[in-house]
Amino acid sequence: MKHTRNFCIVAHIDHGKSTLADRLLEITHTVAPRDMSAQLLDSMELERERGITIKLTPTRMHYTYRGEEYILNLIDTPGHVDFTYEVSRSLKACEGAILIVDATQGIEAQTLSNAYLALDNGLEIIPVLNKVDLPAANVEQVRADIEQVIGIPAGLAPAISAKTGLNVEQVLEQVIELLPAPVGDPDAPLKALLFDCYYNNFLGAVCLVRVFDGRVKVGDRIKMLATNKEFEVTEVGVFTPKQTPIAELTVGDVGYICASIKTVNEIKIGDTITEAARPCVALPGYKEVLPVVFTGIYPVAGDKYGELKDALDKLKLNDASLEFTKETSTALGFGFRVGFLGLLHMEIITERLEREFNLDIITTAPSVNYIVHKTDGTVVHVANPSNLPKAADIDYFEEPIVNLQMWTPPEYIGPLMDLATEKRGEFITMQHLDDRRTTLNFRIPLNEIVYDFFDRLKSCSRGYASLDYEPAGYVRAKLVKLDILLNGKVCDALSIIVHEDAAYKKGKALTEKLKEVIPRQMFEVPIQAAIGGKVIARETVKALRKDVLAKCYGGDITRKMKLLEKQKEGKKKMRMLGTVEVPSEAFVEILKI
Amino acid sequence: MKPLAVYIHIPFCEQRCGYCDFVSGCDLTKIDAYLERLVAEIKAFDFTKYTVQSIYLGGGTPSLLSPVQIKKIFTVLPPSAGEVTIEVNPNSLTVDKCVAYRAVGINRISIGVQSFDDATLRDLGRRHDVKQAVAAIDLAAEHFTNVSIDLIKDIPGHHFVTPPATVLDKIKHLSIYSLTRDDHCVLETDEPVRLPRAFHRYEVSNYARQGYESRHNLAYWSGGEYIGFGCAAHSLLNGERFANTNDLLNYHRYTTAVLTPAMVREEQIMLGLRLRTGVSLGLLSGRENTVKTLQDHGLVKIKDDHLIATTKGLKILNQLWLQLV
Repeated sequence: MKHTRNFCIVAHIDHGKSTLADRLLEITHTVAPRDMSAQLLDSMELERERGITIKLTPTRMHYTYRGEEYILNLIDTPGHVDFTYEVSRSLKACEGAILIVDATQGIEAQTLSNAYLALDNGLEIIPVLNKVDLPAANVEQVRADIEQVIGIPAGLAPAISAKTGLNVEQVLEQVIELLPAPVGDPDAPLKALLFDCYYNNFLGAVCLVRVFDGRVKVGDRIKMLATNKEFEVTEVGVFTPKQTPIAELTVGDVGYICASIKTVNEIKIGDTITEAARPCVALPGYKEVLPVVFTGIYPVAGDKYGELKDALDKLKLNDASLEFTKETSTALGFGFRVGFLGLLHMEIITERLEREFNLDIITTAPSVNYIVHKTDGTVVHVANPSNLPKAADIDYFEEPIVNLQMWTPPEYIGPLMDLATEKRGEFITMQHLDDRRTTLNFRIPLNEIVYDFFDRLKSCSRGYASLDYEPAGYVRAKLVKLDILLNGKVCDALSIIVHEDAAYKKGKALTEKLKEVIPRQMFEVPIQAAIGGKVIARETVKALRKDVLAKCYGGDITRKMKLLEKQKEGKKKMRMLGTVEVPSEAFVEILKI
Repeated sequence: MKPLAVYIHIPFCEQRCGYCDFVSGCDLTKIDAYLERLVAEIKAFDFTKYTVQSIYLGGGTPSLLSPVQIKKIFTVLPPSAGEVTIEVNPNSLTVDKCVAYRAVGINRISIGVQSFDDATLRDLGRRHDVKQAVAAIDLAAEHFTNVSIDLIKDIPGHHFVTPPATVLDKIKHLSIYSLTRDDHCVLETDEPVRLPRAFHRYEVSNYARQGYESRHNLAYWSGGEYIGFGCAAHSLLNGERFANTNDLLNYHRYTTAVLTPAMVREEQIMLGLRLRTGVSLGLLSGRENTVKTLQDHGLVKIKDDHLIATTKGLKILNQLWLQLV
């Protein structure tokens, strides 16, 4: 046990977590060079493509230091603001954290929030300066920043290049020297933290655990303290990083437990696993993460509802933050209202539904959770615009706001101020940390930052600015429901809740965009934006004037049928909204407005 | 005995026209070698189960063939009970050829006029002018009662010119095609066609005097069986669509589609929509609501248990098909 170290790597996105993880795997010979591929722990197709880490991945490594062999359990974590909850989960399983700071970029918003998250969890922090091989690296400045801004000593922080491998051994040495070994009683009742979970078709749910007390092996009867369910262990093991069965997990180990757990509701991430006969006292577990962005997800083909539900259930298993409830739309039929932690999270989930489960889905405009005070004094929470009470019954709205912090080099202060103001942000403070770094603090409606705020921030700062935010309660706001009418009929799936002042602009932008994306049909299609009964914008998709092939001789028939079949395939991607055919991309396109 | 339509492809032209996507070449020295291969192919076909109801010589430019060459083809063909058509170019039709055509049993002439506007003909790269076209129509009408002309419309930068009354008096049939591009994209323009009432639009691109509808083309459009001889020619026999390859002297047959009942239905709806006789409502059972919507929008009408596209509907047949299948 005193030769075990459990640690994770935290950093701002793109500061080199996964690359450092690669080097550590190489140096410890955990992965044979021929099996090595870049960003090995990012096994999800989507992670590799986007170059980001979404899921935490635990790996056991062996390392000999001063003649003694150590077991190092590494948990790679995501860096994007949406996935903070994944980070906080891995922190609970560790005694220490490596905090990577890109020596060319310095401290960014997520560097700070992740560092504080680790400190709050009582973790020992080892700062590491990465990318020192690049000419733009400013090692001494960044060292000073870490001490000044985060408040932890950085004089000994290794200056490494995860890419070339320079000084990476120093990191491992510090992990062993500076991080505490896990403590616990191997003879006490089993006490293991269930920190993640995924589904395997053969084994059922694979529970990722950190053992704090006791031991667990095949055949043991275990109990989940929160759900009160009991199971018999069928396999225990560690990740190398492949799933590898071993005889027993004991104090300090990070590994997995399988126990023929077939359904999702038998498991709760953050739960404590113990012995059925000799239960322990529960661990504190996690703070429940609350979704902030909600959207309707519907299958393009109505008969895929069941498959969609299955897919969401399976994703939920290893993504505790995902929340969904059944929902019915007059335009789209049966689907789900799904809650996410942010827009990237939403993008990732929708893409995983499409790729991993091969589903064609329609996503409606994202919404936040509003509090609606009705004239009769009652209060309702609304995350789906079509569930709003009638305009006449609404006394007033309250909307969620957040404290937004943007980090930027001083030259982008102007554009970022403009951006935040345009998005109804209220300026709080500005702080110059040094000549390269300024923080801007705003109070801003959450609704304004869930759409395209992150992209806009990046584009108006050439990618240099970063952001972080935390909920700051609700404030009263003048909001209205903006309806979209196709062919004179309200299409509930396209309704949004907007600020009164932005309604005209938004209505106009929406109708214009829809005109672009809705193809010409057999008849003219009026597109209207309306508040209450009042139309505020209108566009028209003209009727098709001509769609026919002239010639049709012997050979043309086969060719023509092929052409028509192709058109038919295209039509399958269309959704009938009343009498109007709308391509599923239309829903995506209007999100961008 | 089943009725059969026979198509013979003559893939030779004096020059290629940019708008034409039929297979054809300009090496006229290969005509005789080609005819040898063609004649052998026709001889090898077993006509005994069929009554030939129409023969169609298309191209290419079949009127490039000499009377001797024409005769060579017809000696191996069984006699036709009905319509025998040859496509001709205005500048290669002569009195001798008309006489020779009649001698082998040809009773219908289809002239590739393309336009009654000289500027349009020039831009299309045609070798004849309007005057020559009118002369060819006159000559054909002297020898044949059944004369048809082909025209092209919707040409960017040009307007469709309606044939003069003197010409219309001499012909029985017109095919008027909208110009299509290589990628089969349809150009947005759709010029209106105004013809005397005597010509009725019996198919989306074809107009005829009563009783002069092309029997050969109707065989294609009504799902009848047809055999195509020559390179790149298509056939439909026993529910199988097949075609010859494009290789001029060494073409061989390949299957393009074996029709399933579902495909037959889809084809019948597609072809029926194009015809004035329409689609039998039997093919559209279960689609009643769609039919009703299309009716409400004036895109189709119902007559004698058939769904018939209106003039408005004919412009967007592909869409109608997509709604109805």
